[in-house]
Amino acid sequence: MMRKVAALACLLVAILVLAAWPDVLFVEQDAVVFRPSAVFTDVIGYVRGVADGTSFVYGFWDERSLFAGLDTRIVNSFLYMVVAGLLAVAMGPALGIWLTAGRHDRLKDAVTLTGAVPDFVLALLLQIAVVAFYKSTGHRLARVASIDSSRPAILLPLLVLSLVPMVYLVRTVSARTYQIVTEPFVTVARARGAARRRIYLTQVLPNVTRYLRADVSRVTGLILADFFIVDYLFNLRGITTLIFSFGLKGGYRYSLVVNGLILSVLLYAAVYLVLRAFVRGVEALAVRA
Amino acid sequence: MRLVVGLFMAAILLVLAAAGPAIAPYPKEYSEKLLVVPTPEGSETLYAPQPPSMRHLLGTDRFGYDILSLLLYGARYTVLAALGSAAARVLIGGSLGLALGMRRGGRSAAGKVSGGLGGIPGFLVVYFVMLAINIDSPLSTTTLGAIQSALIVLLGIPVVSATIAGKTAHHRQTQHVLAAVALGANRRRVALKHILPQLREDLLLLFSGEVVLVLVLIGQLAVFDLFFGGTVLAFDPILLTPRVPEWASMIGASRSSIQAHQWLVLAPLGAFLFAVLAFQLVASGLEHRVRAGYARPPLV
Repeated sequence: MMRKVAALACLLVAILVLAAWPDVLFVEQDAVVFRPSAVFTDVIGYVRGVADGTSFVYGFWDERSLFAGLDTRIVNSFLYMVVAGLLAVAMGPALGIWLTAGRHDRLKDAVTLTGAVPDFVLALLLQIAVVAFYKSTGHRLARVASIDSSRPAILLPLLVLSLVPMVYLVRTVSARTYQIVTEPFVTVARARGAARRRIYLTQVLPNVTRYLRADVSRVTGLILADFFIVDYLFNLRGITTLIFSFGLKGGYRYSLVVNGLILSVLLYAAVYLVLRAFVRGVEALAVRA
Repeated sequence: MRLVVGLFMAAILLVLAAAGPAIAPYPKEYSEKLLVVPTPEGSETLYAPQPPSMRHLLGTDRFGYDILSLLLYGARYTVLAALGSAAARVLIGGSLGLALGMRRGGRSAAGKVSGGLGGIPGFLVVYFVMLAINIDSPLSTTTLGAIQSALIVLLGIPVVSATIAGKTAHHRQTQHVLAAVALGANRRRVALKHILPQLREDLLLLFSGEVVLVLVLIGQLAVFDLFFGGTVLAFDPILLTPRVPEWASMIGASRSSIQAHQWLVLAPLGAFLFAVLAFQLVASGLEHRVRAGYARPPLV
């Protein structure tokens, strides 16, 4: 318990320091300024702002409350991440075992190579393909970006979000399956006359799912990192715009970025818990089988 | 086979990086913001961006620059940044990992640092550190590129050192190393003469994998307008453009053109994907070769 509290405290400090960097290292009157003391100024200002509420107000030309529309941002982000995570955790291991059991090496290579395509490249390629298809046929296959809350882009963002963690699971599960089917207990099962299908179901599956729980944190991390890109490129109206709002709208808002990063950690935790519960359910089913 | 294809593609990239400017069809500063072409009715004025044609094989960008020429001039930035950063990651992280792996407890220490950093997306760290110095910066393109590369290298060192520390600790327990220690070889000699040669393929594999990771990181930063070598802010209309035609930066700068001028995105996207797939094929081919050496056959 103490270790978890310490890890959370470290993460909070990392967020507070990381978000302060644009105030530490910046350009002023054509010269680069390095001002480490800005970390303390920013953090103290943020803590004071938490007490009096100003840390939850941001604005460029007009003042806005962070909480206005925040529920929609959080729910949007959570739903996209959870659905993508469930798709990856449900399909990745199944595909990994199937590809190894069926010796579909070429197909496995193709899946692995597809997973190497960076998230933003895949997102842009899919958007371009949908636009080109629409221009040549007049049929819209999917929305290339969310227009407003009632017309969200769903298919393409979920495809991009779930692909990277799914391919990761295909690779790891496939490697584990390969390792398990070379173990002596598989020879024993064969010597006792067990059919191939039964060996996979009773020996391989429980051994593979046993490791899945350890992959959940990695899968959630991959989805969160991808979500920043996908949210931005598909205009999903999630939490990303809170973090990446710098630039042309009147300067850098430390409190807004810190709030966005803290929210992303909370989202990570929520998605992690859902995926872990799902994996435990799969484990229980595999053991029963 | 995939290793051969990957190496061939990587060789093409190196040739483009070295000879790109020499074979570019147009000079670096040449642009056609508008072009008057003769027609049966007289003449017609064409405005940039121009779609692909015989005059401009990949079209022109919104400022009238030939995209093929930009890609050829920019190849060296993409290739050098990726190869240089990946080499530095493997060199520094590998040396650190070798040293840690030779010490008792060093492997778990490297693992803890790497695990702790693994939860933070790498591009977030580079983004926030460089955010306020990259746009309209007084720093030179080389300095900004060097800072970005240094940050990318720093982020990759813990993972590389943890991997190499683990492998070193494994090799330390092999018979020939134990024999060398029993015969009186000191730690330095054991590391350099007995373990390092065993790590050669692992280091090559790590290097090609790191090239892919670095490319992806540079690309993710470019999506958020943090271009390699600096971002230029132009007004009326407000535009963020890269200082140098690095491939990922070209994608980031043109990503809003997917509806109207698709060639602006497609050309750099294709070039960038070619680079990623080249090194991914090399990594995958090497991995296959390493595994084939000691893998046991499946029993079912």
